[in-house]
Amino acid sequence: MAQEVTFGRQLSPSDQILNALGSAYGTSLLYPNPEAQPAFVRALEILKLLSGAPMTFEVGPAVFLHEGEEIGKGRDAVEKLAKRLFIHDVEAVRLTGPPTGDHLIQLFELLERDEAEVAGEGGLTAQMVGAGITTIGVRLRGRLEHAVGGSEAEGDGDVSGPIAASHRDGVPTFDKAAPTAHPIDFDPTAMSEGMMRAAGEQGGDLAMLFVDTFEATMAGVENGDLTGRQRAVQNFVDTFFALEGEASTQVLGKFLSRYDSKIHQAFLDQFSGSDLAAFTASLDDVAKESLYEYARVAADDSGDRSEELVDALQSAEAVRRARDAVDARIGQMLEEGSNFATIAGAFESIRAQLGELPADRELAERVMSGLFEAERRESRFKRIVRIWTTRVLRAIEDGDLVSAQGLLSAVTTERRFPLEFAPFVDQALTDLINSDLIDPLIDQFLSEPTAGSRDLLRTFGKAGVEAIIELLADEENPSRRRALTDMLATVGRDDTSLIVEHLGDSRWYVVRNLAIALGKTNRHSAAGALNQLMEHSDHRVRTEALRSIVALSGDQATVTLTRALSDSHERVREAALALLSGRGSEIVDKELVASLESGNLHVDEQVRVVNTLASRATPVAVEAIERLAAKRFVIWHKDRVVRDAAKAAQKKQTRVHS
Amino acid sequence: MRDALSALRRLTRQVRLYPAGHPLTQEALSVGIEAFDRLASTGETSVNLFQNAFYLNGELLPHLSLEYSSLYTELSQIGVESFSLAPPTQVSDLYDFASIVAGVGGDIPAGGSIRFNDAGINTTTLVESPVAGLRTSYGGALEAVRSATGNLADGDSIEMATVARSVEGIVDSSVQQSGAALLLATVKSHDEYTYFHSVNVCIMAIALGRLLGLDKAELVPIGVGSLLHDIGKIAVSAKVLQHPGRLDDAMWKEIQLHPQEGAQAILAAGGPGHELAATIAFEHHARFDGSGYPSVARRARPHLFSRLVAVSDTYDAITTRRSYRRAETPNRALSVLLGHIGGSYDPDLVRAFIKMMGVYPPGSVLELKSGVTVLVTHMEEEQEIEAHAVIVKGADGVALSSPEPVTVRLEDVESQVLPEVAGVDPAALLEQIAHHVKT
Repeated sequence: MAQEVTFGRQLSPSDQILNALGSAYGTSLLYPNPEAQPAFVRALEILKLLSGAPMTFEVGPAVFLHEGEEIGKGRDAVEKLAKRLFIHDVEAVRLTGPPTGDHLIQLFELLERDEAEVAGEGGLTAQMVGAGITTIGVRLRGRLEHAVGGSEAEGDGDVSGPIAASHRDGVPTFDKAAPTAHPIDFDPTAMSEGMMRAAGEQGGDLAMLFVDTFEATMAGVENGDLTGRQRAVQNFVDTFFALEGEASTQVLGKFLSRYDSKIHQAFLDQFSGSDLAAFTASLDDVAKESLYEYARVAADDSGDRSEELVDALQSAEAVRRARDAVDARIGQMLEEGSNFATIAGAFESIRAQLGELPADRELAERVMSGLFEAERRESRFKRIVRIWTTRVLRAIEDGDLVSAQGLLSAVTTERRFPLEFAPFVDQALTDLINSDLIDPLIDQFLSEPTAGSRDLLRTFGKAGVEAIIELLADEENPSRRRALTDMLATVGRDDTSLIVEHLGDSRWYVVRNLAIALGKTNRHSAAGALNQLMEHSDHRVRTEALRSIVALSGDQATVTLTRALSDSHERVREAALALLSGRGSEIVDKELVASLESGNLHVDEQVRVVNTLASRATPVAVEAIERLAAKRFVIWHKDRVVRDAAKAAQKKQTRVHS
Repeated sequence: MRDALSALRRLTRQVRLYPAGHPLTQEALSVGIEAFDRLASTGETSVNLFQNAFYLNGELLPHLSLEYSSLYTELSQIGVESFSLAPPTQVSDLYDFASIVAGVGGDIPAGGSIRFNDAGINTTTLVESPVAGLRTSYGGALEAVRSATGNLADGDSIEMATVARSVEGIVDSSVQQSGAALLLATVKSHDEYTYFHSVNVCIMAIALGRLLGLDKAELVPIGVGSLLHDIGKIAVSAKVLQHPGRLDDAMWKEIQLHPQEGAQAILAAGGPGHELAATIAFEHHARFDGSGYPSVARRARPHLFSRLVAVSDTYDAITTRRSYRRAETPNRALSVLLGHIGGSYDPDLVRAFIKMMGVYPPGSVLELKSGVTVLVTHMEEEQEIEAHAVIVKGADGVALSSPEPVTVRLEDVESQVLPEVAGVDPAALLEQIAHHVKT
């Protein structure tokens, strides 16, 4: 009946965990290869299932206690386990997560060894750390007096001052309300156990306790006592590594939150980048942010450690052991990283990229653009400008106009450099276009410019326009002037306003050339500015403006042309008529007729319009001439002249048709 | 010996610049006398110059031969094959020695305290190093970086042709002795960190390039870029570079300027064909995910070879001890790379790098479960579970006089330790283990 009650009741998770531990222990005693035994495997499964949160079991002579209650009594293996633990002076066992089979077996093997032997080799805790057992922790009884104050022979009660306050019977004690300093040569394992116990008993924050204790202890060491400070920091780091479960993450988070203080930096600086990186995943967002900030400040070329301290750390056995445990995990990661399929894919991907590498020309553009964008120092920026212009000139000298253009546009297209440095870039462009490089470009435009030379020229933009305008002003050779005008048109094609803004130049010949260039841009947007030029005082400007307007606007220029038929200067009128004569649409005919009938034209122009209409022989033209020729009543001489011209034209048309 | 060579180099520089009575020359002389006498204090001392290496009393000095390769060249050029010391060193002898090296005159009388090419020293007894060519290339590359740095410090341009020639030497040597090259790339120098680091990064970048199937013409520009990737540090003030503590924001900003300084220096050096080198210098701290520095709007990922150099750069930096950070094991350095793939590093290149280095890279020092300590020379190529190594310490912890080859299964590894902790110097053992190393 009693058995029924036992088996019938719902076992608590702590009972089940303890039973599983006992089962695993019993199996390991019986079999040389316990991991292969079903009972051991089942025990591991139970532990994996139930040991999500850390759990502590107090250890009695042959019994375990959990939350003040005895558990696991009556089970042989569990009692044996408790006995062995008790013999090794274990006061409590703590599972910080599901223990691995390997950790359990190693612990059981340690427990089976002679306790004096284990103690002689540094004690059970040290042996466990050395064996890399990280999922199970133990708290020992009565061992701490060896670690603090002086030796046992010196007596326990003679320490005084703040240090005395931190030790009771040689055991580190902690007071949340008043953080206490500790002697710097404490035993890290004992310290970590003491802290964990204190945090557990006082319901406190272990991380806070750790940091407060660290601060208080460091405050008790003279600033000038470099060796002492190093030892203290090292012992706290070792204590950190001896902490269990999530405690270390919380402690690290606490230190990171104060990373800008010197004393906390001294602690953080003991960790390598990879140590810190390994914690990243388990840190909360705030701590992560602090870590990134700390890493940014402390990265690579910085730090706060002396070489001596590094030496001390490197030889610290506990730290080395802890790192070895991490190395084991790294090995696993690396094996995954060097997985054949992954590697094969990586090589395939890299080789594909090898076929698509940018050419040197593109690299030069990329670096140059980056340099201009990144540089914030004026003197250095000017140096980059010099490097840039030198490379552009060299490319032009080598006839590599594509590279030259690429280098120029890499900087000038998006203009990512600081605004305050823009004048240096603009000046460089001006200097470039005014340098010897212009001659080979003119030579190209004298014959057949290549796409490269056109693109290069266009890249100069405003500076290019200004330079060419000045060259044009002085150039007497008609061929070179024509080439320069073509160049101007090329630069202005992207933005006619670059040319338009110079139309107010006081030199008529300059404005005339600008008008010609605008006509060659093929950009209708320039027509408005050209129309305004029809008011220019110099007829040579008006003449070229008229031609350019026609070139850009086609039939839409007819109104301007007909208006120009009454220009004050004969040359303009002649040009207008000639331009009109060359056009064949009905609109032109109508405009010609309208201008003829408006009475605004000089008699000579009227005769020319009549002749022009006659030569076109369109219905509109024929009708207009017939109308003029049929006029019976004319008073003025000039009207008679026009009518006679119409009659003559009519006869001519008749002859042609007959 | 290092002190003596260092003192001689310093004195040579002083003699070139200042007269004998100048306080700086006097001080250099005083330091030199002390160093030479200390060297000779153990008895008869002879230094040989043979196959681009210094030998002290017949024993090869591998590291010093690299560090003082330029002094070796200067001594060779004036016909010095050996010198021996008969203490106490006379001030006039040492001054004349430096003057001869400096090319400003001087003569050393026979029978003085420093004797050149003494008939008693027989170079034929010296054992030729099987990696002499490799060491020569390494020294050449080291000298090229020193020279480039010196040029920039003097306001001159980098002689890119010299740099390229030295890289060609590295490429040629790496082709002949690829495994030994990777082992040699574990050599470190605290005093000349940047120079050695640059050459190591160059060797690893070239090795990775070879693994990817690149030919010499493609490898040389990568080598030039990797050799000069940190050249911009010349523009960072010594105060910041040597700052013993944490860098403040201003100092950190100054450090961050070195990529752009390097790229400027390379582009300013002229000639076409160095665009890749400038790109690598500019981008080696740009991260795969677009972050990093210099901070510019990146329209594309860093260049493939910038990413490649970033991997080698990080690996060497992590495995090197600095005054502010301990060295990490090669294994841990690889894990750092793996841990940052996709963010800082190109995942494909990190995997290719691990493939090249193996789970335990050349130069790894492993403690086996049997208690012996081994030095990994290379991993078994097709089967990553075995490493080829040499036993350097027996189970009793005593160093072997002659390392013994051994094949190590990974399951036999107890732990990996830092070479300096184990008291093992992989690069110095190269002569003894060269014939075990993969070619």
